[in-house]
Amino acid sequence: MINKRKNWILTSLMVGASLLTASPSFAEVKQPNILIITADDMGFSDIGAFGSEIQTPTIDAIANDGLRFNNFYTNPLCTPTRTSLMSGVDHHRAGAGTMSLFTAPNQKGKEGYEGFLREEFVTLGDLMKNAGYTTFVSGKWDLGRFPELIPRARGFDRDFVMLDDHGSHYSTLAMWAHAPELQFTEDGKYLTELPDNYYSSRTYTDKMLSFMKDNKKNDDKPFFAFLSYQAPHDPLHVDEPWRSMYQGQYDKGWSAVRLARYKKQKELGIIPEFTELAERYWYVPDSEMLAPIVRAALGREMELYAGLMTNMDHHLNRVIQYLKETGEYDNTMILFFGDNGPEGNGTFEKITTFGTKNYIFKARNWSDVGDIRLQGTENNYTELDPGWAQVSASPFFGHKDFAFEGGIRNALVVKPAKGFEFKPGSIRSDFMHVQDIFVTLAEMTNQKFPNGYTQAKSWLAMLNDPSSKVRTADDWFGWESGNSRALRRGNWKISNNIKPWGDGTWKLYNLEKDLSERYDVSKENPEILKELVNIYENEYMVKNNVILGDRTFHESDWWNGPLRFESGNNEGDEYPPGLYKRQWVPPQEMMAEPKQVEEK
Amino acid sequence: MKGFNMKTPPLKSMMKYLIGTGLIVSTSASAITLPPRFYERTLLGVEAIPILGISFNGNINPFDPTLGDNSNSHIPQTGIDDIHLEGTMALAGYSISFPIQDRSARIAYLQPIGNMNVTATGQVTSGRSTISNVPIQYYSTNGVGDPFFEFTIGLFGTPAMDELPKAIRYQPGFQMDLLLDLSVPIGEYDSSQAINMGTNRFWGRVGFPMMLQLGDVWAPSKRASLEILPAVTWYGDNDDMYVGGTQSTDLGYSLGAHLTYDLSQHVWISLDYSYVKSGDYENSGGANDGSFDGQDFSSVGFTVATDLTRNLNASLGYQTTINDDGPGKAQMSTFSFNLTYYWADILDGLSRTGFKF
Repeated sequence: MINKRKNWILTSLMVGASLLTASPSFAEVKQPNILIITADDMGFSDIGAFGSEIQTPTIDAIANDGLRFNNFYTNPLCTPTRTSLMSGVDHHRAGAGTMSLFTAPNQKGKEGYEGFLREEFVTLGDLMKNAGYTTFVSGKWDLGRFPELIPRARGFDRDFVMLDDHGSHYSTLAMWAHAPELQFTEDGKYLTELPDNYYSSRTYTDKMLSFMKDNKKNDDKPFFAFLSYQAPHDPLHVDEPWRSMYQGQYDKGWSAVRLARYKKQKELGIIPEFTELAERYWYVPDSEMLAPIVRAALGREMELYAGLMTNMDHHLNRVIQYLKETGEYDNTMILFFGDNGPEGNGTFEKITTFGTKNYIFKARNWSDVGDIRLQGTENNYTELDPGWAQVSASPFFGHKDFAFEGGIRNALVVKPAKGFEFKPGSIRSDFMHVQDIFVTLAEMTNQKFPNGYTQAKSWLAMLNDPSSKVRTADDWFGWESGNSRALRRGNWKISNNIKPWGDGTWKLYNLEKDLSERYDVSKENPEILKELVNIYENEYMVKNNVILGDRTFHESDWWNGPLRFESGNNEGDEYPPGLYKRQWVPPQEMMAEPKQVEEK
Repeated sequence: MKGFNMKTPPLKSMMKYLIGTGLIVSTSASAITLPPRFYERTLLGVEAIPILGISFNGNINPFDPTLGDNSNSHIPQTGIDDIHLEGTMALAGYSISFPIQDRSARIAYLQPIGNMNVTATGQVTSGRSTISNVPIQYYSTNGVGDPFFEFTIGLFGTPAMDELPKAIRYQPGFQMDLLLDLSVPIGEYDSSQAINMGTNRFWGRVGFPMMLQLGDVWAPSKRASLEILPAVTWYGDNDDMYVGGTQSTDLGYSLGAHLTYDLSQHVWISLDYSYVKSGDYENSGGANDGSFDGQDFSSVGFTVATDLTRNLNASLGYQTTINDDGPGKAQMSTFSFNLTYYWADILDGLSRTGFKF
């Protein structure tokens, strides 16, 4: 596979060179810049342009200048989504069958379940660099930490990234007793410490701006930039004034806020009129019956989450202003989306299960709790309750790590570069997936898709022709995460979830009438169900290396208790791996001090 | 999965801080400024019983600084070089917070009790030798002092915390109150005695307690504040002085300042400063008539405070006058130990129904 990748790079280099010399248009006309922005664990309804009350004026303005897509899918978890984005293939093939925190004993050691983007896959960085672009990434990487897997080795000219999946927004503090430090790289070096005045969204933006400015000063080549915000992922850390910006605004409770977003989404045309609001989770009360003090305390979670969103939007605005000031905005294609559904699983509480070493680590480092005024600060770990996760995912059912719509459907904003034919501000309902971005950019830069089998489709025709569609009614797409399975073909969707989220049997939904997956119509349509299950089991799983786990992270959900230890484990299995994480130490010769860059 | 759970960290123990730790009692004496974090606002309806023990030692009466000035004017002057006061006092009382319009208000009552004694020293000549600093007069008193009432109302800053959600979000930012004090002369007073627990006159004070939060978080382990209290003190006449006649006193001024800081979740400290300028006064109709300057002195000190239980706070403080070495300079050292027990029906109810905080 490694040879295959090298061969592709050589071939591409020759093709690229011939394009640059043979095609005057490529050599003379500056190619559009590409800026991909991701928000981490952001739900479908969390930006103003998709019905949120959260202030996101920058993203909304990009949406007004571009297009909104309400039928765009990611994978249910962050590493899998980033793997698909970077490779254009299903994550089970490319190394992120699941996140390394959750690998089941029977998946351990299996190809495709390494927990990172395997080395032989050509990345978007490689692809765009090969097309003559200068390539930047700033923010969360989460695609591998070894020297051969960091951005510098994956086609990026400049990088400032957090290699891990999550942790503090203010420091290198992680959640594991034996892996206490988050790791960062900058321009191919592992950092010994973070730059001064570090805060994730601010620093990632500072670094991205510095990359863009350096490029402008030097080659002024078209850039491919991936600005991968860690916000609004927990821990919900944010500075003032954003920390207090939404104080009291969520005292009305999740039921009222979800209803308000749902109505706004209909008003905006984000969801069709027939859409019903998904059922409230069986273990989440109607917030109307909660005492005011409880609503206030729980509302603090959403206040902070909203603060992170608005803060991220504020920093993104600095990039947009720079592009406008330098005359690059019109010639920059901008994509913004969330990497999966909102968090609602209480993952931190599980990682730091009572009595474990991680629990002691939490007591030492994350114990600023017990007072809502501490929430949002450096040593406090606040994450969303499922009631708020349902607000974020409105109108859908489910959240992160599930193949329900709420876990995989996300808000996508695309502002094409000048030259594309589209109606600014319009909403499109093309069935799309994050994998498609790779294929689209490959087509845009006249390159062949290098990573083998994929279900991805290019968006280029659609972006140039409003009447064109990305997928036909016969195209299907599959998902799996923690044994939560789904497949969609046209408007039919099947899904299968373990107890208590399902009963282990396949359900059938007609998304044309039922976006919130309320009505199982498998009994009325047994043939369709059978056909789609057959596709899932005999095509999707086989072609994409899906191995169902013999354990899953959600197996203890139904008793709302601690993780399951008592049966099915052999000593040495180290399940769940999220409790056993160990610090990896980079080679000493690759360590460096951070560059101190602070943009205004 | 993370279900809805009343034991989740934000809810589990926040109740503990609904009241704050600011109900450490005032010493309620015109010469001793109020303790740090006294004017932290609280949930309305919170009631408190403060008990403050004070041990003082010096040459002025902390309960009436017009007494014991550099001319020792209230004590017969025959052969006296200096006086020395010491005493042990307790102040116990009650306070409750309540709303006026949308403002946070509090009224407190404090009652001093205890004992004081004063020793006058001077030169004694015996044969050929003269011995200095010999006690030549001694007076003592004990019993009940003048009760003291204090009313405060918020002028700027956080509005009345009439709901639990407002209380759990309380951050002082910058706040300023109006303070009105009144001491009523019903304590024990006997004009035949050189010193008394009562002062035989009304006195009162108008002040503007200000609190500036330092840092952007006001929560246990993170709090820091700068607090300033400028005040004007008004004195009624004492028309039955020890040596006869009436004492009339001009307005006095004071400034208290505290720099507070949380050492941990349960312990905070404060550096304290106070300046007192008691009113100039005039004695008439008695044996010691004349006009006299009021006291003028500065003190520095510290306070260490902790919460012992959910309902009980404690603090230990020390203050001493500075630049007090010159002849006739006021001197005073004060140790104080304070316990404040507080409660609110809703919080006690939550506790009884099993809510752990």
